[in-house]
Amino acid sequence: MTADPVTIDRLYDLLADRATVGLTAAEAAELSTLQTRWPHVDPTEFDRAAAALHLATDPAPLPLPPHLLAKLEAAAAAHFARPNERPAQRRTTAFYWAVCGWSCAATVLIGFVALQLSRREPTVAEKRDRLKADPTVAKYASADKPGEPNAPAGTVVFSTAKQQGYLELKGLKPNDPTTSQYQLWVVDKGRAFKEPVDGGVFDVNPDGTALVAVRSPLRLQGPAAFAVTLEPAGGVVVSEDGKVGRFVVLMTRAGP
Amino acid sequence: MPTEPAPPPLLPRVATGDGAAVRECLARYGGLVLALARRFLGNATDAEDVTQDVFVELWKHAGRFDPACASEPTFVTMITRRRLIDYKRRAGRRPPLEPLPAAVPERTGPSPFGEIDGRDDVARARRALGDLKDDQRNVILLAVEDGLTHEQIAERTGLPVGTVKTHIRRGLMRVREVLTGTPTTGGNR
Repeated sequence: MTADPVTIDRLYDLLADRATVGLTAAEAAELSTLQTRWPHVDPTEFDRAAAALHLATDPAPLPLPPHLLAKLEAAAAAHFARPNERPAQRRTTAFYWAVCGWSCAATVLIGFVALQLSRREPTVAEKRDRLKADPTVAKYASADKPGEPNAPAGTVVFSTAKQQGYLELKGLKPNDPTTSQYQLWVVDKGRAFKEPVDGGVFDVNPDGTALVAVRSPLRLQGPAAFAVTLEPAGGVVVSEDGKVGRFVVLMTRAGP
Repeated sequence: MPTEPAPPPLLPRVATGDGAAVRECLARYGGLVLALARRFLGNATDAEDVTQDVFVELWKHAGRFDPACASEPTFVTMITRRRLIDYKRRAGRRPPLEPLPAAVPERTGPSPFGEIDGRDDVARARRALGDLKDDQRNVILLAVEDGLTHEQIAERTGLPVGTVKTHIRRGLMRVREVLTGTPTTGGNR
Protein backbone atom coordinates (compact mmCIF):
# COMPACT_ATOMS: atom_id res chain seq x y z
CA MET A 1 0.00 0.00 0.00
CA THR A 2 1.28 3.44 -0.85
CA ALA A 3 1.00 5.82 2.04
CA ASP A 4 1.07 9.56 2.01
CA PRO A 5 4.21 9.89 4.18
CA VAL A 6 3.52 13.42 5.32
CA THR A 7 0.01 12.68 6.44
CA ILE A 8 0.73 9.33 8.01
CA ASP A 9 3.80 10.73 9.76
CA ARG A 10 1.54 13.30 11.34
CA LEU A 11 -0.91 10.58 12.31
CA TYR A 12 1.89 8.62 13.99
CA ASP A 13 3.17 11.77 15.70
CA LEU A 14 -0.24 12.40 17.19
CA LEU A 15 -0.72 8.77 18.25
CA ALA A 16 2.71 8.76 19.89
CA ASP A 17 1.95 12.04 21.66
CA ARG A 18 -1.42 10.78 22.83
CA ALA A 19 0.23 7.69 24.28
CA THR A 20 2.86 9.66 26.18
CA VAL A 21 2.01 13.30 26.85
CA GLY A 22 -1.61 13.60 25.70
CA LEU A 23 -3.16 15.87 23.12
CA THR A 24 -4.68 19.31 23.12
CA ALA A 25 -8.30 19.52 22.03
CA ALA A 26 -7.16 20.82 18.66
CA GLU A 27 -4.74 17.95 18.24
CA ALA A 28 -7.42 15.46 19.24
CA ALA A 29 -9.69 16.84 16.56
CA GLU A 30 -6.89 16.69 14.02
CA LEU A 31 -6.22 13.07 15.00
CA SER A 32 -9.87 12.25 14.59
CA THR A 33 -9.78 13.67 11.08
CA LEU A 34 -6.62 11.78 10.15
CA GLN A 35 -8.02 8.53 11.49
CA THR A 36 -10.86 8.69 9.03
CA ARG A 37 -8.27 8.93 6.27
CA TRP A 38 -6.17 6.04 7.58
CA PRO A 39 -8.68 3.62 9.06
CA HIS A 40 -6.28 0.67 8.73
CA VAL A 41 -4.03 2.15 11.45
CA ASP A 42 -5.16 0.79 14.79
CA PRO A 43 -5.19 3.89 16.99
CA THR A 44 -4.72 1.90 20.18
CA GLU A 45 -1.47 0.24 19.18
CA PHE A 46 0.70 3.10 20.40
CA ASP A 47 -1.22 3.17 23.69
CA ARG A 48 -0.69 -0.56 23.99
CA ALA A 49 3.01 -0.21 23.20
CA ALA A 50 3.39 2.50 25.85
CA ALA A 51 1.51 0.39 28.39
CA ALA A 52 3.66 -2.67 27.67
CA LEU A 53 6.78 -0.51 27.95
CA HIS A 54 5.55 0.90 31.22
CA LEU A 55 5.05 -2.59 32.61
CA ALA A 56 8.44 -3.60 31.26
CA THR A 57 9.99 -1.19 33.77
CA ASP A 58 8.87 -3.62 36.47
CA PRO A 59 6.90 -1.21 38.63
CA ALA A 60 6.87 -2.42 42.21
CA PRO A 61 3.25 -2.34 43.39
CA LEU A 62 2.50 -0.25 46.45
CA PRO A 63 0.29 -1.52 49.25
CA LEU A 64 -3.18 0.01 49.06
CA PRO A 65 -3.83 2.13 52.15
CA PRO A 66 -6.94 0.87 53.99
CA HIS A 67 -8.81 4.14 53.42
CA LEU A 68 -8.17 3.95 49.68
CA LEU A 69 -9.20 0.31 49.48
CA ALA A 70 -12.41 1.18 51.32
CA LYS A 71 -13.12 3.96 48.83
CA LEU A 72 -12.43 1.68 45.88
CA GLU A 73 -14.73 -1.01 47.24
CA ALA A 74 -17.45 1.54 47.93
CA ALA A 75 -17.10 2.98 44.43
CA ALA A 76 -17.33 -0.50 42.95
CA ALA A 77 -20.43 -1.29 45.00
CA ALA A 78 -22.07 1.96 43.90
CA HIS A 79 -21.14 1.38 40.27
CA PHE A 80 -22.48 -2.14 40.03
CA ALA A 81 -25.58 -1.33 42.07
CA ARG A 82 -26.85 0.90 39.28
CA PRO A 83 -29.31 -1.05 37.13
CA ASN A 84 -27.77 -0.02 33.82
CA GLU A 85 -24.31 -1.07 34.97
CA ARG A 86 -25.36 -4.67 35.53
CA PRO A 87 -25.78 -7.32 32.88
CA ALA A 88 -29.19 -7.56 31.31
CA GLN A 89 -31.61 -9.58 33.36
CA ARG A 90 -34.99 -11.01 32.46
CA ARG A 91 -37.84 -8.77 33.36
CA THR A 92 -40.84 -10.19 35.15
CA THR A 93 -44.10 -10.60 33.32
CA ALA A 94 -45.81 -8.12 35.64
CA PHE A 95 -43.13 -5.58 34.91
CA TYR A 96 -43.52 -6.21 31.19
CA TRP A 97 -47.27 -5.60 31.24
CA ALA A 98 -46.88 -2.56 33.42
CA VAL A 99 -44.49 -1.10 30.87
CA CYS A 100 -46.95 -1.94 28.06
CA GLY A 101 -49.80 -0.25 29.90
CA TRP A 102 -47.81 2.87 30.51
CA SER A 103 -46.58 2.83 26.92
CA CYS A 104 -50.16 2.78 25.61
CA ALA A 105 -51.15 5.62 27.88
CA ALA A 106 -48.07 7.53 26.85
CA THR A 107 -48.85 7.00 23.17
CA VAL A 108 -52.31 8.50 23.58
CA LEU A 109 -50.89 11.42 25.51
CA ILE A 110 -48.14 11.98 22.94
CA GLY A 111 -50.74 11.99 20.15
CA PHE A 112 -52.75 14.64 21.96
CA VAL A 113 -49.72 16.75 22.67
CA ALA A 114 -48.51 16.37 19.08
CA LEU A 115 -51.84 17.65 17.80
CA GLN A 116 -51.53 20.72 19.99
CA LEU A 117 -47.92 21.30 19.04
CA SER A 118 -48.64 21.05 15.33
CA ARG A 119 -50.61 24.25 15.56
CA ARG A 120 -47.62 26.43 16.46
CA GLU A 121 -44.05 27.14 15.34
CA PRO A 122 -41.76 24.31 16.46
CA THR A 123 -39.16 25.06 19.11
CA VAL A 124 -35.44 24.59 18.55
CA ALA A 125 -35.61 21.34 20.50
CA GLU A 126 -38.39 20.06 18.27
CA LYS A 127 -36.52 21.04 15.13
CA ARG A 128 -33.45 19.29 16.48
CA ASP A 129 -35.46 16.16 17.29
CA ARG A 130 -36.93 16.11 13.80
CA LEU A 131 -33.49 16.38 12.29
CA LYS A 132 -32.21 13.60 14.55
CA ALA A 133 -34.84 11.32 13.07
CA ASP A 134 -33.26 11.76 9.65
CA PRO A 135 -31.22 8.58 9.05
CA THR A 136 -28.55 10.42 7.08
CA VAL A 137 -27.77 12.91 9.80
CA ALA A 138 -24.28 12.78 11.34
CA LYS A 139 -23.89 12.82 15.10
CA TYR A 140 -21.02 14.22 17.10
CA ALA A 141 -20.30 14.00 20.81
CA SER A 142 -17.70 15.06 23.33
CA ALA A 143 -15.65 12.39 25.06
CA ASP A 144 -16.85 11.02 28.38
CA LYS A 145 -14.95 12.20 31.40
CA PRO A 146 -15.32 9.46 33.97
CA GLY A 147 -15.75 10.77 37.48
CA GLU A 148 -16.67 14.25 36.24
CA PRO A 149 -20.43 14.22 35.81
CA ASN A 150 -20.57 18.01 35.68
CA ALA A 151 -17.79 18.49 33.14
CA PRO A 152 -18.70 20.46 30.00
CA ALA A 153 -20.19 18.12 27.43
CA GLY A 154 -22.00 18.48 24.16
CA THR A 155 -23.59 16.84 21.17
CA VAL A 156 -24.22 18.00 17.63
CA VAL A 157 -26.49 16.62 14.96
CA PHE A 158 -25.78 17.89 11.47
CA SER A 159 -27.10 17.15 8.02
CA THR A 160 -24.70 18.09 5.25
CA ALA A 161 -27.45 17.61 2.68
CA LYS A 162 -29.79 19.99 4.46
CA GLN A 163 -27.02 22.24 5.80
CA GLN A 164 -28.87 22.15 9.06
CA GLY A 165 -27.64 21.24 12.52
CA TYR A 166 -28.09 21.76 16.22
CA LEU A 167 -25.71 21.99 19.14
CA GLU A 168 -26.68 20.98 22.66
CA LEU A 169 -24.41 21.67 25.62
CA LYS A 170 -24.41 21.19 29.35
CA GLY A 171 -22.02 21.86 32.19
CA LEU A 172 -20.81 25.20 30.85
CA LYS A 173 -20.17 28.20 33.04
CA PRO A 174 -22.87 30.81 32.31
CA ASN A 175 -21.42 33.77 30.45
CA ASP A 176 -22.01 37.48 30.80
CA PRO A 177 -23.21 38.42 27.29
CA THR A 178 -21.91 41.95 27.69
CA THR A 179 -18.35 40.76 28.00
CA SER A 180 -18.10 37.24 26.63
CA GLN A 181 -19.94 34.76 24.48
CA TYR A 182 -19.47 31.18 23.50
CA GLN A 183 -18.62 30.56 19.86
CA LEU A 184 -19.10 27.43 17.81
CA TRP A 185 -16.46 26.33 15.31
CA VAL A 186 -16.73 23.73 12.60
CA VAL A 187 -13.74 21.71 11.46
CA ASP A 188 -14.90 21.06 7.94
CA LYS A 189 -13.76 18.47 5.43
CA GLY A 190 -11.44 19.86 2.81
CA ARG A 191 -10.36 22.84 4.86
CA ALA A 192 -7.13 23.18 6.79
CA PHE A 193 -7.62 22.40 10.43
CA LYS A 194 -6.37 25.84 11.37
CA GLU A 195 -9.17 27.39 9.37
CA PRO A 196 -12.28 26.37 11.25
CA VAL A 197 -15.59 27.76 10.06
CA ASP A 198 -17.45 30.10 12.39
CA GLY A 199 -20.64 28.37 13.53
CA GLY A 200 -22.10 31.36 15.37
CA VAL A 201 -22.02 32.85 18.86
CA PHE A 202 -24.47 32.07 21.64
CA ASP A 203 -25.11 32.44 25.34
CA VAL A 204 -25.49 29.75 27.95
CA ASN A 205 -28.54 29.45 30.19
CA PRO A 206 -28.12 30.01 33.94
CA ASP A 207 -28.16 26.23 34.45
CA GLY A 208 -25.16 25.84 32.15
CA THR A 209 -27.11 24.42 29.20
CA ALA A 210 -27.59 25.64 25.66
CA LEU A 211 -29.42 24.39 22.61
CA VAL A 212 -28.74 26.36 19.45
CA ALA A 213 -28.82 26.00 15.71
CA VAL A 214 -25.55 25.75 13.80
CA ARG A 215 -25.19 28.88 11.69
CA SER A 216 -22.48 28.68 9.08
CA PRO A 217 -21.81 31.45 6.58
CA LEU A 218 -20.29 28.86 4.24
CA ARG A 219 -21.64 25.66 2.80
CA LEU A 220 -20.13 22.87 4.88
CA GLN A 221 -18.73 19.90 2.98
CA GLY A 222 -18.90 17.40 5.81
CA PRO A 223 -17.82 18.43 9.29
CA ALA A 224 -15.16 16.32 11.01
CA ALA A 225 -15.64 17.96 14.40
CA PHE A 226 -17.29 20.84 16.22
CA ALA A 227 -15.67 22.87 18.95
CA VAL A 228 -16.83 25.55 21.34
CA THR A 229 -14.65 28.39 22.63
CA LEU A 230 -15.30 31.30 24.96
CA GLU A 231 -14.61 34.56 23.20
CA PRO A 232 -15.16 38.30 23.68
CA ALA A 233 -18.79 39.33 23.17
CA GLY A 234 -19.70 39.11 19.50
CA GLY A 235 -17.16 36.40 18.79
CA VAL A 236 -13.94 36.53 16.85
CA VAL A 237 -12.81 35.75 13.34
CA VAL A 238 -10.00 33.33 12.76
CA SER A 239 -6.88 35.36 12.40
CA GLU A 240 -4.02 34.58 10.09
CA ASP A 241 -2.30 32.41 12.61
CA GLY A 242 -5.44 30.32 12.99
CA LYS A 243 -5.76 31.04 16.68
CA VAL A 244 -9.06 30.98 18.49
CA GLY A 245 -9.75 30.71 22.18
CA ARG A 246 -9.13 27.54 24.11
CA PHE A 247 -11.64 24.81 23.38
CA VAL A 248 -14.26 24.42 26.09
CA VAL A 249 -15.94 21.44 24.45
CA LEU A 250 -14.85 19.37 21.47
CA MET A 251 -17.30 17.09 19.73
CA THR A 252 -16.08 14.50 17.26
CA ARG A 253 -17.98 12.14 15.01
CA ALA A 254 -20.04 9.63 16.97
CA GLY A 255 -22.31 8.21 14.30
CA PRO A 256 -24.01 7.02 12.28
CA MET B 1 13.90 -18.62 35.09
CA PRO B 2 10.63 -20.43 34.49
CA THR B 3 7.59 -18.22 34.24
CA GLU B 4 4.50 -18.89 36.29
CA PRO B 5 1.44 -19.52 34.15
CA ALA B 6 -0.79 -16.49 33.89
CA PRO B 7 -3.87 -16.68 36.10
CA PRO B 8 -7.19 -16.55 34.29
CA PRO B 9 -8.31 -13.03 33.46
CA LEU B 10 -10.68 -11.34 35.85
CA LEU B 11 -12.17 -8.64 33.70
CA PRO B 12 -14.73 -10.82 31.89
CA ARG B 13 -16.14 -11.72 35.30
CA VAL B 14 -15.89 -8.13 36.49
CA ALA B 15 -17.94 -7.08 33.47
CA THR B 16 -20.80 -9.25 34.71
CA GLY B 17 -20.76 -7.56 38.10
CA ASP B 18 -19.20 -10.53 39.90
CA GLY B 19 -18.40 -9.11 43.35
CA ALA B 20 -15.69 -11.66 44.10
CA ALA B 21 -13.97 -10.82 40.81
CA VAL B 22 -14.16 -7.11 41.62
CA ARG B 23 -12.45 -7.66 44.97
CA GLU B 24 -9.85 -9.91 43.39
CA CYS B 25 -9.26 -7.31 40.70
CA LEU B 26 -8.60 -4.67 43.35
CA ALA B 27 -6.22 -7.02 45.11
CA ARG B 28 -4.43 -7.94 41.90
CA TYR B 29 -4.14 -4.53 40.25
CA GLY B 30 -4.74 -1.93 42.97
CA GLY B 31 -1.11 -1.82 44.01
CA LEU B 32 0.08 -1.67 40.42
CA VAL B 33 -2.21 1.22 39.53
CA LEU B 34 -1.23 3.13 42.66
CA ALA B 35 2.48 2.59 41.95
CA LEU B 36 2.19 3.75 38.34
CA ALA B 37 0.24 6.81 39.44
CA ARG B 38 2.60 7.62 42.28
CA ARG B 39 5.64 7.68 40.05
CA PHE B 40 3.94 9.37 37.10
CA LEU B 41 2.41 12.15 39.18
CA GLY B 42 5.03 12.35 41.91
CA ASN B 43 2.35 13.08 44.47
CA ALA B 44 0.61 10.64 46.82
CA THR B 45 -2.70 12.52 47.06
CA ASP B 46 -3.08 12.89 43.31
CA ALA B 47 -2.08 9.26 42.87
CA GLU B 48 -4.90 8.11 45.13
CA ASP B 49 -7.41 10.33 43.32
CA VAL B 50 -6.40 8.93 39.96
CA THR B 51 -6.43 5.36 41.26
CA GLN B 52 -10.11 5.81 42.08
CA ASP B 53 -10.78 7.23 38.62
CA VAL B 54 -8.93 4.34 36.99
CA PHE B 55 -11.00 1.69 38.69
CA VAL B 56 -14.28 3.43 37.93
CA GLU B 57 -13.22 3.43 34.29
CA LEU B 58 -12.10 -0.17 34.56
CA TRP B 59 -15.51 -1.24 35.88
CA LYS B 60 -17.13 0.56 32.95
CA HIS B 61 -14.86 -0.86 30.27
CA ALA B 62 -14.10 -4.32 31.64
CA GLY B 63 -16.28 -5.83 28.93
CA ARG B 64 -13.99 -4.41 26.26
CA PHE B 65 -11.00 -6.43 27.39
CA ASP B 66 -9.87 -8.72 24.58
CA PRO B 67 -7.08 -11.14 25.53
CA ALA B 68 -6.24 -11.49 21.84
CA CYS B 69 -5.16 -7.84 21.73
CA ALA B 70 -3.36 -7.38 25.05
CA SER B 71 -2.71 -9.10 28.31
CA GLU B 72 -4.90 -8.08 31.20
CA PRO B 73 -2.15 -6.15 33.04
CA THR B 74 -1.41 -4.27 29.81
CA PHE B 75 -5.09 -3.44 29.37
CA VAL B 76 -5.26 -2.18 32.96
CA THR B 77 -2.09 -0.16 32.39
CA MET B 78 -3.52 1.37 29.20
CA ILE B 79 -6.54 2.62 31.11
CA THR B 80 -4.31 3.82 33.93
CA ARG B 81 -2.04 5.72 31.57
CA ARG B 82 -4.93 7.45 29.84
CA ARG B 83 -6.22 8.69 33.17
CA LEU B 84 -2.77 9.74 34.31
CA ILE B 85 -2.05 11.70 31.15
CA ASP B 86 -5.48 13.29 31.23
CA TYR B 87 -5.17 14.14 34.90
CA LYS B 88 -1.78 15.74 34.47
CA ARG B 89 -2.92 17.78 31.49
CA ARG B 90 -6.10 18.96 33.14
CA ALA B 91 -4.38 19.88 36.34
CA GLY B 92 -1.71 21.69 34.38
CA ARG B 93 0.74 20.12 36.71
CA ARG B 94 4.31 19.46 35.95
CA PRO B 95 6.16 16.54 37.44
CA PRO B 96 9.10 17.41 39.62
CA LEU B 97 12.40 17.75 37.87
CA GLU B 98 14.25 16.98 41.09
CA PRO B 99 14.65 13.35 42.19
CA LEU B 100 11.52 11.70 43.46
CA PRO B 101 10.86 11.97 47.19
CA ALA B 102 12.27 9.28 49.39
CA ALA B 103 8.75 8.05 50.06
CA VAL B 104 8.67 6.51 46.62
CA PRO B 105 10.05 3.01 46.95
CA GLU B 106 13.12 2.28 44.93
CA ARG B 107 12.98 -0.71 42.66
CA THR B 108 14.40 -3.70 44.44
CA GLY B 109 14.56 -7.03 42.71
CA PRO B 110 12.05 -8.44 40.30
CA SER B 111 8.52 -7.17 40.27
CA PRO B 112 5.97 -9.27 42.11
CA PHE B 113 3.91 -8.86 38.96
CA GLY B 114 6.20 -11.32 37.32
CA GLU B 115 4.18 -13.90 39.17
CA ILE B 116 0.84 -12.91 37.80
CA ASP B 117 1.36 -12.00 34.26
CA GLY B 118 2.75 -14.45 31.82
CA ARG B 119 2.69 -11.20 29.87
CA ASP B 120 4.12 -12.08 26.54
CA ASP B 121 3.53 -8.55 25.30
CA VAL B 122 5.50 -7.13 28.20
CA ALA B 123 8.36 -9.55 27.65
CA ARG B 124 8.50 -8.52 24.01
CA ALA B 125 8.38 -4.85 24.96
CA ARG B 126 11.24 -5.42 27.35
CA ARG B 127 13.31 -7.02 24.61
CA ALA B 128 12.49 -4.17 22.24
CA LEU B 129 13.50 -1.71 24.93
CA GLY B 130 16.81 -3.51 25.30
CA ASP B 131 17.45 -3.19 21.59
CA LEU B 132 17.20 0.61 21.68
CA LYS B 133 20.24 2.82 21.96
CA ASP B 134 20.94 4.12 25.45
CA ASP B 135 19.81 7.67 24.82
CA GLN B 136 16.66 6.48 23.05
CA ARG B 137 15.84 4.13 25.92
CA ASN B 138 16.48 6.84 28.48
CA VAL B 139 14.22 9.29 26.67
CA ILE B 140 11.33 6.91 26.21
CA LEU B 141 11.46 5.80 29.83
CA LEU B 142 11.38 9.40 31.03
CA ALA B 143 8.27 9.89 28.91
CA VAL B 144 6.48 6.64 29.66
CA GLU B 145 7.42 5.97 33.24
CA ASP B 146 7.89 9.44 34.68
CA GLY B 147 5.41 11.26 32.48
CA LEU B 148 7.78 14.08 31.61
CA THR B 149 6.95 16.43 28.75
CA HIS B 150 9.17 16.75 25.71
CA GLU B 151 10.56 19.99 27.04
CA GLN B 152 11.31 18.54 30.45
CA ILE B 153 13.07 15.57 28.90
CA ALA B 154 15.08 17.92 26.71
CA GLU B 155 16.06 19.93 29.75
CA ARG B 156 17.05 16.86 31.68
CA THR B 157 18.99 15.12 28.91
CA GLY B 158 20.36 18.10 27.04
CA LEU B 159 18.88 16.80 23.79
CA PRO B 160 16.94 19.07 21.41
CA VAL B 161 13.16 18.80 21.74
CA GLY B 162 12.91 17.52 18.18
CA THR B 163 15.31 14.68 18.97
CA VAL B 164 13.32 13.83 22.07
CA LYS B 165 10.12 13.58 20.04
CA THR B 166 11.85 11.44 17.43
CA HIS B 167 13.27 9.07 20.04
CA ILE B 168 9.85 8.62 21.66
CA ARG B 169 8.10 8.08 18.38
CA ARG B 170 10.65 5.64 17.03
CA GLY B 171 10.79 3.76 20.30
CA LEU B 172 7.02 3.35 20.40
CA MET B 173 6.95 2.34 16.76
CA ARG B 174 9.60 -0.28 17.41
CA VAL B 175 7.64 -1.73 20.33
CA ARG B 176 4.44 -1.54 18.33
CA GLU B 177 6.05 -3.48 15.50
CA VAL B 178 7.33 -6.10 17.89
CA LEU B 179 3.91 -6.45 19.54
CA THR B 180 1.89 -6.60 16.37
CA GLY B 181 4.45 -8.42 14.26
CA THR B 182 3.84 -5.98 11.41
CA PRO B 183 6.08 -3.24 10.08
CA THR B 184 4.82 0.31 10.21
CA THR B 185 3.40 1.53 6.91
CA GLY B 186 4.97 4.83 5.90
CA GLY B 187 6.29 6.94 8.72
CA ASN B 188 9.91 6.64 7.73
CA ARG B 189 10.78 10.06 8.92
